[in-house]
Amino acid sequence: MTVSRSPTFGSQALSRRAFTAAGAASVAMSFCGRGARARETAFTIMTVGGTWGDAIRKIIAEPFAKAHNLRLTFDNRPNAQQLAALQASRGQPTIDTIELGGPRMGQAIALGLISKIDQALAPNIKRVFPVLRNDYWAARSIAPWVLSFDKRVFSKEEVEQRGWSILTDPKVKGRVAIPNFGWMGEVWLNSVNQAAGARYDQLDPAFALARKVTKENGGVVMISNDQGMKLFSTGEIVVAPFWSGRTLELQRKNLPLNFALVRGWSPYGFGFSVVAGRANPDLAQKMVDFSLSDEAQLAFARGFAYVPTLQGLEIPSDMPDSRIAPAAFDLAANLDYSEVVKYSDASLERWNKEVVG
Amino acid sequence: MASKAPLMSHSCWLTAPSIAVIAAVLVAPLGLMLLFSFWEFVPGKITNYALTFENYRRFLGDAFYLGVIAKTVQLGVTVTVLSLVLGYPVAFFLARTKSRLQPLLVYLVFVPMMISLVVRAYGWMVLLGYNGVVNAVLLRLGVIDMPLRMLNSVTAVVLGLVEVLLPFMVVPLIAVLKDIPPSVEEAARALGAAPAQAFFKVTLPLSVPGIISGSLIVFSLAITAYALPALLGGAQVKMISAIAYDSMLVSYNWPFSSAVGMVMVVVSSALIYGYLRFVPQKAQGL
Amino acid sequence: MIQLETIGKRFGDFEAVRSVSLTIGEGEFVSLLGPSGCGKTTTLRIVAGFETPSSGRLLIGGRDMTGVPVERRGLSMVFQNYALFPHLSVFENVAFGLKLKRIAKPEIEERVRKALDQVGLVGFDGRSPRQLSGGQQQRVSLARALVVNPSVLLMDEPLSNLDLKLREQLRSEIRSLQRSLGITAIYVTHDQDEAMAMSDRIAVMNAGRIEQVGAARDIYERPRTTFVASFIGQCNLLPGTLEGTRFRTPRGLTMDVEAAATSSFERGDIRLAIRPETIHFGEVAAGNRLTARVADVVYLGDIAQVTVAPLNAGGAEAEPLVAAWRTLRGQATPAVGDRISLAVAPADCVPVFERAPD
Repeated sequence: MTVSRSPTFGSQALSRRAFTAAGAASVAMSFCGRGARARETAFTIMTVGGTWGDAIRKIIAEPFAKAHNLRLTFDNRPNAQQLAALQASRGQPTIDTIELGGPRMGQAIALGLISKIDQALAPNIKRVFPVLRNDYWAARSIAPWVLSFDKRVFSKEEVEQRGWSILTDPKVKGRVAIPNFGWMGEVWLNSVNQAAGARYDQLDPAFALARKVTKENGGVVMISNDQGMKLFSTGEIVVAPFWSGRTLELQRKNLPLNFALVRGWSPYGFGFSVVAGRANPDLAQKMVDFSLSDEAQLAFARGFAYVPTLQGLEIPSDMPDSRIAPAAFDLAANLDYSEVVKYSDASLERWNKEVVG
Repeated sequence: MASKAPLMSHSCWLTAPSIAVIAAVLVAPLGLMLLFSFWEFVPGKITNYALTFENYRRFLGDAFYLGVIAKTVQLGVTVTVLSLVLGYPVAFFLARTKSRLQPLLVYLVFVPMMISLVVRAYGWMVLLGYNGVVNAVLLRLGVIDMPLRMLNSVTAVVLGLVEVLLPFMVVPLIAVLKDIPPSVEEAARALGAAPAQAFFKVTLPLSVPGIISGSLIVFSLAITAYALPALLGGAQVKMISAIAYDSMLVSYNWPFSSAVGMVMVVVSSALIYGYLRFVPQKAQGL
Repeated sequence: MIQLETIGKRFGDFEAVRSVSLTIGEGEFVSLLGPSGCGKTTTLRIVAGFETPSSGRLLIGGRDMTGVPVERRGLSMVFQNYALFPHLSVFENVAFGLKLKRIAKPEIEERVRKALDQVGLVGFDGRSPRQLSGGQQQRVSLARALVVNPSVLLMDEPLSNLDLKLREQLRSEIRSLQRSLGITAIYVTHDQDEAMAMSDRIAVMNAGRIEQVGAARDIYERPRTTFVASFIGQCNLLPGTLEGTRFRTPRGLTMDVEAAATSSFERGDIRLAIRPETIHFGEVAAGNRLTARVADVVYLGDIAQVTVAPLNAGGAEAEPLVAAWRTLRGQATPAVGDRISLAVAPADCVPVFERAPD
């Protein structure tokens, strides 16, 4: 999953608008020209672009559109800008459904940008593990946020035993990284914090660790997947909190990497929500349901080595990477993002001052 | 430039639509931002519309943020000075060359501007990266035995910004230098000035308007740059624009972000006002 | 003394100056006169040191100037566009050269004041060049050039951006300043009046060459080439051949030429130069006598320009000539169609080369 890959939002927003206008124009023309097409309903999906956006289009959007005779439009933009765009078009949203996860999902709920899921229209939500859903949202897949490391430096047993504190080992001084706050940093901080037994408003243990990594152990602050992948593949870093799926991807490129589900690893989930204030919310509810269905979940998990979220879903034996032992979930952080975002502003300032400042 | 047209001439009305458009797309958002900057922040709600000075107090009353402003200004000054030092000889050559290729050479100055900023940032990453070209050369030459970490540093940001902003320095300089008749320099030579003396006593002072215009543009763009510092400086090089961006899009504290933005607007406006006020009209090259 | 020895200058394929040789004496005022593109400015810039000659040698005061930069040639220059320093005041402009020489402040002030006085600009010290008229600017530029006591003053069309009245006034001011200061001066112009009014000697240039050097009168009365004859003043240029002292045109007009004038002419492409004002109207006892038909009359005030068709020995019309008829109040000018008698003294018939000899 790509977060805030390219910050040139001005031009992108512009081209987006142009694209939407062109889309609208072609819709209008098809209405005039062909009666058969007039029955198609416009439906707009907001996700990030790139490989991720393409996968959503192929696995979820297009089959769903075909079944419901929809004319699809995509609003692909970096995660960081999505809520701002929704907030700006508040009351007159042009988006039907948006893919969310983590603190952004918490923000979207707090800001009232998304509606509750209607269990009658989206019955699949009831099948999702309870910790991976709330009234407004359910995870379609989880991407485990874990501790990745170079096998030549640490053994898996050692990493599992020492947990996040291994990031402060002088042995890896200057060869360690943590995620930036605006990327996965906020999730990671809260996960570390929960593992240390502290509350959402008391992030001291997590900040102490982050500060130690950057200030005393020469830690790099990663701002994106791309940067993390690059740092690991050049050997610039040997240990960092990272995605399990991306670590497996690097493994396949013969890098000597492995990962461990240490205490406070994060089952980071993402899934679709229904944008509040649209004329035809039932369609979006059905789209959420479809995205949570067995076939959509499995297809996605297969493509990205992610983990499906349905209870009792049989995971084929050729997908070992999509399985997590039930015992591992005992170590996982279970974050209430509505709580997390209450302290986002204060934590961001603290991050700037103490960790990167 | 015609400057003193009567306020209500007939042709004035022809400009009304464009002025209206500018007001709508430029002034209105700025007004909204000003308003936001005085609203109270509420997590999860953005604001409750209660008026407060808290956002400004928080930004300007905190040694950390003042430090960020200082670092940003310092970066701006460094980038401006380097652009000037590197750009002046280029501009001088392009303004004076009698080569038939001159228009092509001027065009070449613009070419990098046609390539996406992101692509150029990646170019720098290839050069400065851990396994990048520079490190490879230094390793091969035996100058270093461990790759240097050049990315995610202020140096990388400065290099990238200078490369990106150089044309904005060179272009106004070319315009001003082309306007200086060579005979003025020759007159100085004939009066006993060595080439360097003629340059420093005549050409350089006469090109001051270009230096000021170019510096103003480069400085303003450098202190407000977001994308390039983010790509080359990583998370650890924090400039004002990154603070504003994060508040806007990470913690959704739009009032604070607006206050930061307004401070940047005031700083840039003060600079431009100073330019218009203290640089003689004729020397402004506007 | 300035000596130009077979100086040439090429810009790529273009030969701007071809083998120019000229010696200018101490305190002499020499003009380089010619149309635009004739190489006069390039020649001046070679003397100044702004251009390096492609061939030949330049000596100033007997010293070879090869490799000597502009600022060490001890000369001053005045430009067509004045080339004042716009960021400096009038005083600072004039003081510029003195400051470079690290002259003491009181002396600078005194000399600047004297220089401004010489050019009639007392009290303008504090002004910016932008606030001055063109004539005033050129005076400042002159003061700036003279204040450093140059041994040579170079002027590149200094008056051509000014209107006629001012030009004539400044012309004599420059000349008298140059005389009183005893400075050697080279003056580039395309204006023959200016050159004739100011110069001790004029070098007429064409296509990179000096075609003739001499005092104004010399050049006017004894031009050596068709170019010089036609560039300075009006001139009839008859085609034809010279045999002994007799010139014969293709249409059979014959003219006697003074024996002394023919000495340097072998057979070849020559023309006969006759100034319009040297053609006498009426019967004359000696010289070349002609009968002609009046073809055209143009009244110009002090003179009327009369175009005539002279008749050859067979009575047919030969090559036309232009004559200047001095108009006097109450006296009738010849009318078109009149048959009149004309005469030209052999001394006024000057054989000239078609082209400058290499």
